Amino acid sequence: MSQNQVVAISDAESPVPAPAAGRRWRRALDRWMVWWTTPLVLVAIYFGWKLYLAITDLSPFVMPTPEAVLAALKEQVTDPYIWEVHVWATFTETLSGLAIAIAVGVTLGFLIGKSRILARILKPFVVATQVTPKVALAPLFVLWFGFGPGSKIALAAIVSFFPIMTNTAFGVQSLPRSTKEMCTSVGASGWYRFRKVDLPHTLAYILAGMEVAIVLATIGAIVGEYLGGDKGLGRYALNLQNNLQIDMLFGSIVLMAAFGLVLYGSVVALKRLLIPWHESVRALREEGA
Amino acid sequence: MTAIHVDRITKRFDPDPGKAPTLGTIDLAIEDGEFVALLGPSGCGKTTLLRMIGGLEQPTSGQVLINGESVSAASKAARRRILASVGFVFQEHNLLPWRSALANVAVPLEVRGMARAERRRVAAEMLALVGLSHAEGKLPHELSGGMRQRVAIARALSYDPDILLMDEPFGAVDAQTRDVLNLELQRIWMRRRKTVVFVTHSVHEAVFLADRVVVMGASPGRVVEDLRITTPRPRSLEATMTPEFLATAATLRDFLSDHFTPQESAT
Ligand SMILES: Nc1ncnc2c1ncn2[C@@H]1O[C@H](COP(=O)(O)OP(=O)(O)OP(=O)(O)O)[C@@H](O)[C@H]1O
Ligand SMILES: [Mg+2]
Repeated sequence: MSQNQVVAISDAESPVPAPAAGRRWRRALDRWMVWWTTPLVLVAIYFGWKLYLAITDLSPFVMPTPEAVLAALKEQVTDPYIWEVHVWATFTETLSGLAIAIAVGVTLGFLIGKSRILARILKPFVVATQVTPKVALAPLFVLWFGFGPGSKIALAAIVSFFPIMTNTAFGVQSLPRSTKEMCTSVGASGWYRFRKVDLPHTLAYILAGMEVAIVLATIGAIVGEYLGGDKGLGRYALNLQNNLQIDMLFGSIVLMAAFGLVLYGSVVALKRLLIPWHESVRALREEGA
Repeated sequence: MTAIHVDRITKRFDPDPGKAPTLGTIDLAIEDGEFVALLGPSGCGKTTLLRMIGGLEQPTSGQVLINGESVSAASKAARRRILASVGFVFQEHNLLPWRSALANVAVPLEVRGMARAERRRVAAEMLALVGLSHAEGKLPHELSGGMRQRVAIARALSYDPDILLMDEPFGAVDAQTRDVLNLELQRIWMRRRKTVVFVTHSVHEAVFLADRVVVMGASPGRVVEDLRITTPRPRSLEATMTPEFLATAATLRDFLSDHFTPQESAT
């Protein structure tokens, strides 16, 4: 007889009901809002820009018209050379730098997170690398790794590993004690815990660190390009400035911003893919964003 | 045979000798296949006692013997071997949020190196046992509180431990679901005959489930009453309305209220 009752209640505990139709509508509205507010803001910027030029009568070498920038941007976007040489160079440097930052940052993060002694030994050095202005290191990197991609990758790596490392260490330490005790009670070995508990738990934190790191890595690569070499978006912008092609320079800045945005968006997408169970991702999903 | 022997244990978190220890001397023998409910005021040390039996905490003095072997004195490796026959159901479910219900139940089996297909089969069987076959693929956050707790029970049962330690497993569920889970637990216990130590705040739950109710008092934590419940099984919810049941419950309530204020009974 107990069996019957069990079945009855199990069925009553059905999943959450679907949201009401009205709420769904409003959610859809919220979701599409950026698609009409963004053009509006852009139009406002356009007129503000025109107005400013009209009042101040600036030379086009200092401040080009929005039309000129748009025309330059159009030319740049359709120029395969820019994609194949400059964008590609910055892209590979940024991702190589990030890859190194992830490898080093995650390893150090785990060591620091797991061992208090290692944390004490490593922390001063790690913090020292962070308080040192990285741009000051750039000439040194050029000396060590040459004018090629090496120095840019090194700079991208060193500016971006810190958030990955601190996030990893924080993630490792934030594993709930109760979860550790569950592992003990089921008799899990250290290796099992590392692979099946610490890693998936920390992945969420690593990805959060990557969100910041990818932006920093892009900046690192571009700054590296400014300081030497002949390829990449940074180098390209510098050339344009030297040639006084200010409209093109503006266009290249827009390109860099778009570049950073796409990379950042990829990390966010990766987060949704890899940790769909995580609170932060679920909140995003529920907002319908 | 004695499954769990709590051999003159004391536990002191605060080294100040002026204060009463968290647990005074506790001596308890729990037989094989016995269902023991542990009852007592908040803070009297029920969880601490259970954690020491489960090897998650070391006693300050005394020892815990599981099937005649000392957990407290054992080396790490030996402790792992001894505790392989002990399952722990925590007050919080402690499920891994990235794993489905089925995969969570399979954790202990994975740890024991069982092959994937076999693992799936056993885990599915365990989920069926707790009435959750329809939720195999769900992640913990997609389950209700009671369902999560049942997954945790299925996990503890999956590797068929002889001893099951449960710390207020149904503390977080509503009264109706709790009744159902109690019936279910009784059914599982009758089928598998494990030694169970079950911590609860509910006198009703203790009398309904247990063969034996151990009441603890606080400051220092100690056993103040040890009562046998002889109501035949299977017990139905209606059996909780009988005069005997109510009388037993009343007796236990008296013991609890006698030892309710820690200061009152301070040594
Ligand atoms: N790790 C710890 N460090 C210090 N004191 C502790 C620790 N764990 C428990 N205590 C203390 O030991 C006492 C008993 O705690 P315990 O959790 O065993 O109580 P309990 O009987 O399970 O209470 P409840 O019914 O509220 O769960 C409490 O006074 C608590 O403050
Ligand atoms: Mg407790």
